[in-house]
Amino acid sequence: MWLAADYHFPSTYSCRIPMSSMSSAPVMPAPGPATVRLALIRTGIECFGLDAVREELFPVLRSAPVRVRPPERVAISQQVLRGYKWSEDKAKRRTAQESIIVREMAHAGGPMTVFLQVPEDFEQRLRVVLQAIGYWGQSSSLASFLGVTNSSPGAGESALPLSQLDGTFPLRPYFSCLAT
Amino acid sequence: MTENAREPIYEMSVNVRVSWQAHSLSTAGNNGSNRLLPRRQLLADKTETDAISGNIAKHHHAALVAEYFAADGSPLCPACRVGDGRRAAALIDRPDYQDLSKEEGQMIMKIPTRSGEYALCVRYHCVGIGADTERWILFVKNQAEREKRHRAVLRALRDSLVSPDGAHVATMLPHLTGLSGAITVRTGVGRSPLYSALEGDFITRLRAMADETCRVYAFETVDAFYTLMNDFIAMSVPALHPFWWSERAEQ
Repeated sequence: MWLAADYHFPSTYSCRIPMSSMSSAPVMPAPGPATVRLALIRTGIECFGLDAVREELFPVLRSAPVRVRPPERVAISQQVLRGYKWSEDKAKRRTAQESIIVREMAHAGGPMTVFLQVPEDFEQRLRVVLQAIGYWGQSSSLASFLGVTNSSPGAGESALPLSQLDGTFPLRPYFSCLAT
Repeated sequence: MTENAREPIYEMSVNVRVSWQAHSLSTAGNNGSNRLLPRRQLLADKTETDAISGNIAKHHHAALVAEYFAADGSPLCPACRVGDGRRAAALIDRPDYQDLSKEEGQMIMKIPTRSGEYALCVRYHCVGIGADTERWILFVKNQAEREKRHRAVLRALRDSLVSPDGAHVATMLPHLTGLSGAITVRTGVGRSPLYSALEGDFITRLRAMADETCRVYAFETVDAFYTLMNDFIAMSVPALHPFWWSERAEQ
């Protein structure tokens, strides 16, 4: 069965494209499936404890199909920030190097929906976890839960792997990036 | 608030619309010129607006919390004790600070001054006081110590809104001309709702989310916010996660 959870982004957020540079970080318009899975695991531990997640929820979350419907409108700006990088000298002393980094920040108009296909036995527990999600990726990328329903993702609305892209849909509305 | 005396708080969120006039709280470098650039952000409705970085707000909040911790006798880590956020070069004796102090002559700089209404969201994870929230292990088992730290965090949060701090405040201390919004409180496991104050109906939206474990306290003025925060400082305590209840019962 499918669960569809809606989230509001109350402030700007920044889900970096995997394998992009830390010092010049482009972002995705919404978190990718891996970020969603990690957030569900982290929040699952908060709600049910490490043992319950390891034994019961993790096998489900690892294999559950995840679809992400981005907000209706997303604006992306580049922000200049102060960044720190640990480095080690010859005497093995660790020092923090300061530099200027550029990181994109996104602002959303409208809710984002996460679709998760799970076995019926897990529905109630995963509803609790979806409700307790507070951020995606960085803890400063705040997210606020709005509601959860039993509905499946519509065709052409969600992020998908290229291999699953329906050849009859135009590519233009898609934002292409390496997500996992 | 007072009727819920000493009620444990799991998480608190502050959703406010704040008006600051004639400030330069957050800038975005100078691009090699003698003109400091204001921070800008494109919004989803295609307008480009002035913005203030949350990083600088967190930096000043951390400094304020460290002051309150020191005043209360709460322990501070070596980095916090010296305000080491790598932002104050003088504090950590960096060589480039020495170079700066030797620089001769004055440079004329153009610093932008801005005014506006800003939407601000803060999430305070009260249950995480004295705990590792990755593995959910409670390290500070003395509840009185946790309460002291909780009060320090709330005081710093209150002060950072009623007495704004950021870049260039020595010469351009902002004029605070308005503060309204809502504080949401979650008393059990879960999130306290956050909703952007850029939306005109944000208080109505937040009020509609109130339930048995989620309380919403709206305010219209800076003094109402101050009074509300003082009530939380006096009457609230950080919640214990259910995983720690058995540990507490054994004590």
